[in-house]
Parts: sequence; structure tokens; C-alpha cells
Amino acid sequence: MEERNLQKEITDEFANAFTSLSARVEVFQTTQDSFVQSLIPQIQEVLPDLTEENLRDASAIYGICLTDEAIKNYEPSQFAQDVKYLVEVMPDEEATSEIIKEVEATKEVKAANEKKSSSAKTLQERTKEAMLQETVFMATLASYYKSNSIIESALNELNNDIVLLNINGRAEIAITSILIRTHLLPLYNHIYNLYKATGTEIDLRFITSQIIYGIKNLIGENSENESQYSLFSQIKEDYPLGHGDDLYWDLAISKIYRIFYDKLKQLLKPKIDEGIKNREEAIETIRAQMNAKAPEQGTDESLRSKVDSMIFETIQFGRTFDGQRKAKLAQLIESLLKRMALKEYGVQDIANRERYTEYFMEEFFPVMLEYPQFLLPFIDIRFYRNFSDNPLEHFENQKIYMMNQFWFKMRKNGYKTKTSSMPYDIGNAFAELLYDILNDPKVLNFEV
Amino acid sequence: MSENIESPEEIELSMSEQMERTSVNISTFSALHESSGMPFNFPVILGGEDIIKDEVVKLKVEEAFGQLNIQSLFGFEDQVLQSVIYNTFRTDNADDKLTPYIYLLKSYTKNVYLLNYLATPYADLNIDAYFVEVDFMSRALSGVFRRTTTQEEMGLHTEEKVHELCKDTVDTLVGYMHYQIFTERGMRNLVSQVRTQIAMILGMFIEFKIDTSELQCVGKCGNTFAADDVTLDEKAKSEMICSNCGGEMVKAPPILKFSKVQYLYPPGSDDVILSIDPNGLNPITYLGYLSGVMMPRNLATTVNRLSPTHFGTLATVPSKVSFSKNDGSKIQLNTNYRLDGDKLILFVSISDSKFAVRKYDDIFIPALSAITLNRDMVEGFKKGYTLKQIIRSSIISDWVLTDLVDVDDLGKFEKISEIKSQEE
Repeated sequence: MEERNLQKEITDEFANAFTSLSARVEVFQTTQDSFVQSLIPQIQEVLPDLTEENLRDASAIYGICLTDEAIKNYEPSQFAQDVKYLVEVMPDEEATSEIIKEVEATKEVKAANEKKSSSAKTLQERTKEAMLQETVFMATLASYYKSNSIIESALNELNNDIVLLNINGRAEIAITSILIRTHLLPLYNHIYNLYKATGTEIDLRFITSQIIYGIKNLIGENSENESQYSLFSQIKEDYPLGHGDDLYWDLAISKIYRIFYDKLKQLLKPKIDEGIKNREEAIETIRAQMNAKAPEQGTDESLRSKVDSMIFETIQFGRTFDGQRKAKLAQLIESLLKRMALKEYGVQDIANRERYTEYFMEEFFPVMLEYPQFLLPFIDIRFYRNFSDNPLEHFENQKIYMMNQFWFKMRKNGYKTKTSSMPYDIGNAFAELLYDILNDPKVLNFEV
Repeated sequence: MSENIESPEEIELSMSEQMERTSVNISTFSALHESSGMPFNFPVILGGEDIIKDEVVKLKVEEAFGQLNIQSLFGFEDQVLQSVIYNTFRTDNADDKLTPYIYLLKSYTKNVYLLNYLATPYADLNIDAYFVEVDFMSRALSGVFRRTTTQEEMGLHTEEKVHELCKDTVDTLVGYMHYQIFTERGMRNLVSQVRTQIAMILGMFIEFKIDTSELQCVGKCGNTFAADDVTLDEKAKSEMICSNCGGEMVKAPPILKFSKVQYLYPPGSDDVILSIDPNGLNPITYLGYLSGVMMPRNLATTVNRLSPTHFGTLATVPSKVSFSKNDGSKIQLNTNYRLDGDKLILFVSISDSKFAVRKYDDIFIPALSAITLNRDMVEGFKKGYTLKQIIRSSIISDWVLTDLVDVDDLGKFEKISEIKSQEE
């Protein structure tokens, strides 16, 4: 089920990339005509059999790749080598996917209409096959363009995780498996399906070489005249297979991970060291604080500090705030509220239920102000800029609106003013709320 | 406050360590090596530090797992076993030992089979997430194996090299799985995908006899002996020394022997089932689903060698079984058991996704209610109600209950409905 959804997403993504690239190519060809013309001979040198239309398209796409930095440090001849390979594996008329056929059909209708309406327009008399070939050519290059840009962003994410996992000191076996399985395998699947959307069964080793090219660019190791295609030829020499999704893991670990992980880690070493240092310092500070407080700490305070440290660990050390911790937090809040009631009235279960809410506002709401990023979900999004400049001031100005939002969310999570399970409801609703907040990447990445 | 008091988290950690140290995780990959026609087996045993006293035994058991024919284990013609969870109980009523659950999963990709055996006190592993992991592992190894053997055919590698490369992969894959379960406490979240709709089509009450008399040699020969085996002399029985090889003998894990069975089916289901599945009405077919997933004897005795004190008195009852059929449908078995002297009574509900169609709503019940039903049955027994009383007051009050039939006599019946039913 999920797989099918993913497939559809990628197909849609391809369709978008394809249409937007086609449009950009047209614009590029008219605005940068001289640039396109200057490229054509260089590409033609490698690809003498290409039609003129294809040559113009390829040149424009190369230009677009350059301006978008989809592939860096690339010469036209290197690009042409890749195109040459892609032309070889381009689907024939039978294998062409439905999407392309649809595009082709609308084009034909359009062309026919134009012919009818204005005879002045010089429409090149091209055969149907040639027109289809052009569309397929464009579509294949669209997949190529798109896959290079996904690789770039996927590698950034990979690097972030290399840093994070190393800072957290995870076991080597876990780092290997997590990096490959959460980054490289989905990347293979994604790119494979992008090509598949045109009808091409791309060789997995070509995907590998595309990824390797991206990594080499990052670590500054690519030698001159090394194209994705030349890397592909190298891999082909000792890796005999190129099809079947069971190869993802093998290619990812043997051709990418084992070769480049240490190099990437070396590249990221300053970041990792800094992170480890910060983490150790923070732990040291907390430990010192805890030790200093320990003698005069009452039971209430120890419970309260547990709540604090739970949140602090998540924000500062990136420890995940999972369901287990959520449940614990809800319990802690509940028992604290009951204790406060016990202190004031001598019983846990007090008749004045609203008093619990007052306790809550006294004791726990300040957490929200300690970490201003927690207020992010309650702001009116139009004031985002205002908020990010000075969260607390914004909160003071917009207090009524934001408190309304806050209580609305609390009620959505099961908070009710008058129920017998009142302290539990508050604790649970607040824990649910914090759970959402602490798992929201927007909040976690918010720089205060 | 004294500094010695552990925080709850620290206690939890040491608890989970304890759990890990009594858990045994055995994975065996089996890949058919085409040029030699022999399967390459890669067995790995992880965990169990507290119960496995002897490293040599561990190696021997690993070797024994390496010789198992994984492909034919739980082999069925038209359905593929995905996972079984076994409930266990101890026949010696020892309460001081942790009683594990046993998870058995089987998966294959192309010509690579993987059998994973996990005995652990953790009851909260999510079997769907776990299966996804096992399935991934078999796929990953399949790729490595396919590549390395192709290279071997091209003369780039030797057979040893292929073995070495695959073994590396296996260690990484299994190591990470073990790490996920015990260090990260992973695979416990619910899988978010939409489950296949599935409907309960049949219930079975089965009586088992528990046989604890079998002995097993843990020496060289590894034979098992029934208590009345003629080759066993008195000396062998009193001193527990194998008369075959002179090795030490221990009690073999208990065997559950099928003795009687009773079916429970919805009225008017004959035509519906027959229209979809021609063999569907045969009483033996349904019993076969269960008998096919009883813990294989060779597996039980091999694992027993690891730690006879831990596994020797452990009886295993399948509690949740999933099959996938070749046509993409799914069959599920849920069971609950009750001990009655030396008898074990098992209530099994069989569910099939092919019948989870709206037009059959009046006949069958959704599998989710079947799980509640299972629990009700066993609770009802505990309170001393008869079978009939329980059924009449449950959601399947109109279902037909057959007579109790000896398992050996089942061959006489072609359809379940031919078995005499208990009329009021």
C-alpha cells in the first residue's frame, strides 16, 4: 500500500519535473540562443547521430544544469557522454510509459490546432516517430536532471546524519545500517523510479556512479574529465550485475559506503568534534547543577526537575521524545498536580477542579516560555518574522491570541475543565502537546 | 537522598540487559549455490550469555543450524509461512525462570531463504515490523549472493571468497537486527500501513497430550529416545548416559501430541467456502494449518542443546501465525490455550482475507472480534462453563459445534459438515 503511494508520488514528481523542464528549455533556447549555439558543436562531437532538435534540447538542459548547479564541475563533453549512454537505454516506442504517451497526444492535438488556425506558422513537417522520439529524449534527460538534484539534497541529509550519529556515539554497526537504510536505499529507489517513469529500466550501476560523482564533488576528489559515465564504465568492470532491487544494499555498501564513509567523516570531523565537545560540556553543567541542588531538593522539586531534564535532553542532545517518555511525562505532571493539591487542601482529589488548572499554569506553563520555540505552533503564521525576531515580546503582545490557540490545542488533546480525571487529563493533554511540539522539525530547528 | 538509589531509568536498563542475556537470537540464511548445487548456509547465534554456559556447544549448535534444510522447513505447497509467535509454558512448573516467547520468521528473496528464531521474554515485539526487517535481510543477502556468485562464474572470485563476502554481510545484517531489538528497543511501534481485512471462518478446539518422557543425547550422536526405547538399558536411564555414544543425556523438550479435535463453523458456509477454495471444507486441511507450524522437532532439540535447563521443560504452542498465499491473500491463526492436568486444550480461530468481503458479513465475523472471542473462550473455561454455554452466550451463538473426534478418524470425513454436530 505504502509502496504504491510512493510510486505514485515519484511518478507525479517526474511529471512535474518533465513539464517544468520542457517549459524552461523553450525559454532558455530563446533567451540564451547564442550560448546554446556555441554548445552544439561540442555535444555533436560526442553524439554525431543526434537530430538538430535533440541537440538544441540537450544544450539547453546542460545550460540549465549549470545555472541550477544540479551537477557541478561538468564540461559539455562529459555531459554529452552521459547523454550518449542515456540515448542508448532510452525506451523504444513499445516500452514508452503512459505518461509520455499522454503528453505526446496533447502535443499532437495542439499541433493540429495550430496548423488549422494559422497557416502562417511554419510547422516543421516531422514524422510521428520523430516527434515521439523527441519527447522521450526530453523526458529521459528530465529524469537525469532531476536525479542529480535529488542526489545533492540527499547527500546533505546524509552528512547531517553522519554528524548527528557520531555525536551521539552510536555503535558502528548501527551507523552503517542507519545511514544506508535511511538515506542510500531510498535514494536508489527514488532515482530508479524516476527513470522508470519514462519507461527506462536504468542500470543500477549508473545510479551508483551518479551518487559517487556527487560525493566526490563534496570531498573534492573528482579528477579531470571524470564523468558519471566514465565512473559507470569503471564500476562495470568489476561489478557484473545491474538490475534487480535486491542489489540496492550490495551496491550501496560495497561501492559507496565502504569507500566513502571514512572520507565523508573526515570531511565532517570539525563539526563532529564541536558537537561532541558541546554535548560533554552541557552534560557536565547539568551534572554540576544537579549535584549542587541535591541536598536541599524536596520530592516535588525532583519530580519537577525530571520534567525539565526530559525536555532539555530532547532539545539539547537530540534524544527522541518517544511515546514512552510522553506517558512518563503525563504521569509526572499528574502526580505533581495532586501533590500541590495535597499541600494546600490536605487531599489529592479536590472539589474545586479549576484549581488544578491554576496549578498547572503556575508550575508548567512557564516551560513554554523557557523554550520560546515551543510557542511556534501557536503563532499566527503571518507574524512569523515578528516572532522569530523576538519570541517573548511577540508573546506578550499577542498573548490573548496565543493562549486561545494553546487552550484550543489542549482541549483537542483531551483537556476538559470539569471531569473526575482532571489532573490526569491536564497532564496527558500537555504531554501530547509537547510530544507534537518536540517531534516537529520546525520547532527543533528553530534558532532562538 | 543517598547516591546509591538508582533512578528508574537505570533499573530499566539493567532489566533490559537481563532480558537480553536470557534471549537467544538465531538466524540462518540459506542460499542455493547453483554451480555446486549445494546450499550455502550462514548460521549466527547472538545473545543468551546468561543461559549458554559453554561456547563450544554454541558453535556446535550453530553448525547444526547450518545443516538444517531451511527451504523445506515449514514448507507448504500453496501458502508461505511468514511468522509464528509461540506461547510457552514450563512442564515442571518452575516459576523462578524467565519464560520466553518464541518468534519464528521465515522469508525468502529469489533463492535466499532466511529463518529467524528468537526466544525472548519480550512480549511486545511488533510482528509486522519484525517481518519487514527479516524480509529486508533476505533481500539484501540475495543481492550480495547473486553478485558474488556471478563474479565467481566469471572467474573473479573463488568459492571461499564468495562465502567470506556473504558471511560479512550476514554478520552486519544480523548484528543490526539484534542491536535494534535489544539496545534500541526497536520494532515495537505499530506499522502504519493499512492492514488487510480478514475474517474468521472457522474455530477448532484441539486436545493435546503432553509427552515429557523423551530423552535426548547432547553428546556426539545427538539422538533422541522415547522413554520405552528398547536400545536404552537401565543404566542409561538411571545415570542419563547415552547407550549409543556414551554422551550425556538430558530431558528433551516436551512434545504436544494431537489427540482430539472439535470444529466450530458458521451455518451455511459450505457453499461460500467451496466456491472459493475447493479443498476448503476438508477437516484435515484446517488441522494442517496448525500441525504444520508446531515447533519442528529438530529445531526444538537443537536449541535445547544450547541450554537444557532453560529449554528442556519448555513446551511451545503456536499463538499467532500468518501465512501469505500465492494469490496474495492472507491466512491468520490465533490461538489460546488452557492446561487441564496432562492435557492441553487449544482454541484456534482461523481467519482468511478472501472472505473479508461485504457480502459474507452475515456468515463470518471480522478477525478482530475473533481475538476477543479467543480470550472469552479461555476465560469461560476457567470459570467452569461448558463449551456450549460459552458459545451460546458469545457473538457466534448460531455457529455449529461438531462432536469431539479422534484425530486419527478425521480421514473418514470429506467435509467438516459431515461430522455429527452437537444439537441442543
